[in-house]
Amino acid sequence: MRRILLIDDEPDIRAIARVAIEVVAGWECVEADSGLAGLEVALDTRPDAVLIDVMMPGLDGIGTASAFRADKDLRDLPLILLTAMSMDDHHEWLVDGVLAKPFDPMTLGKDIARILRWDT
Amino acid sequence: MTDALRPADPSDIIASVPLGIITMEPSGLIGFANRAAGDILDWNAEDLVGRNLHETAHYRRADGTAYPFALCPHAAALNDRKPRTLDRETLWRRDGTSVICDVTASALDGGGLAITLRDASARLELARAQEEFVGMVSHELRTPLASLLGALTLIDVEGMGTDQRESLIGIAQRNAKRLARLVDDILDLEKVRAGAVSLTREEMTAQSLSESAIDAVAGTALAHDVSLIIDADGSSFWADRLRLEQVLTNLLDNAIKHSPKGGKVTLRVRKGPASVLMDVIDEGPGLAPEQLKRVFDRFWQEDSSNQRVRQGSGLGLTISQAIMELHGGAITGSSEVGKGMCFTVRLPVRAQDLKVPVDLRSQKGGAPHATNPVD
Repeated sequence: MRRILLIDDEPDIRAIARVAIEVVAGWECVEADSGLAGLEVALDTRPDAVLIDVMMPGLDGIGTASAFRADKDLRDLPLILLTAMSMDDHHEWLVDGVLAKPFDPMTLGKDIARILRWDT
Repeated sequence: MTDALRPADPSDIIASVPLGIITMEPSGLIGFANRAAGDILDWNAEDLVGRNLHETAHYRRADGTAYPFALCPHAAALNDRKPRTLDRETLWRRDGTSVICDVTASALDGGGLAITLRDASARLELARAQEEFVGMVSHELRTPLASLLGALTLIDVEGMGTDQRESLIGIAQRNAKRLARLVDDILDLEKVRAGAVSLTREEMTAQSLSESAIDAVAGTALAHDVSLIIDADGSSFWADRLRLEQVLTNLLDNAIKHSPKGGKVTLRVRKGPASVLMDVIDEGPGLAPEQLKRVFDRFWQEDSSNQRVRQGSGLGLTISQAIMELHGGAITGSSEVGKGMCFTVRLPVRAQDLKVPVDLRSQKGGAPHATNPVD
């Protein structure tokens, strides 16, 4: 059973992603509505991967991903950015992958597994 | 009368038109430059004469690299005498800044070139603003559309609890409504901005206008436990009632949504010099000066985790401002962080409008007294 942490400020997007992860992919989903809250939840729940929305007020997705990488307990967690913008390759050093937003909830689990090379 | 028919001096025309005109001699030196050319290039027109045009204003490309004259289309035009058009060409002003121009070059019968310069900055700025607007609109539309599609895609999935399914239906409904409101607001704003809205002015009293606006938001106020207070004087004025109600309703709605539970929102109408002033005052958190500056921008919303605030389209204040501009007025905001927000709508009125409706008076005074057969 995989556990995915989703960090997004839009509650509707979180609710949709939760159903996609729990019901369609059959994994566990934990969520946070901001980058800072996400760091806390990650320390508490030790997820297998973190999905991070890029456009968030306050600490944005890039800032959040950098904060994960700077934390000695969290730096090895696989990170995937969710973004509607086309991302430049220069974020490759920071995160493990990028998923286009809007994501397809029917394939979200498969997309995460493909990016992180998980056996499904 | 014969004076008026005398043809204008061509050199006077060339000197005065708002199109930069420069002649380039076969040597590359400037033979003549008109005032507009001087203005565009930040020179006195007379001082340009005798200077090498390419070395003076065309010596670097847009990216800053050197631009040898041999590679310049003007050099080619001097040779083959064929016309050249350079759109969005970077020229360099005397102070070292660049200016983007549409440039044409055509051979003069007596040798050399006539070159025209038209400053393209305003046109490019307009195109850039339009592009930015399209970018913002597509982002704003895609966000609710993504939630709507996502929720609908999942609604049939097996193995979901009733609660989850109901929450997906709620998401779909909420975002469909948001999408509809956004589309309405975007179209309304474009209509108002394009001047495609004509105002239907009628006489109204401050009291009746305030009451209708308050009525429209009474439900929202109740839901947020906010009390509404009207403080209207006895003035009456001419305005488009529906549009003015739209403005006040929008401001009141914002004020309510930013108010603390149990707070109050005041609508105050008072006479100012040659205008009616309508204040919408709340007891919410207020805005910092740098936020206040952006509050009328399209799609601007404060960073907020307050979901009820974020349900709006982000266009309400922009539309309201445009409506007041149509009325010849304006909306201004003042605030201090922690001390609430006050938006003031200023509606200009002529002094006599406050007493006698203008249209009625002109009918009484101006129309000839036709014999009425019923009399």
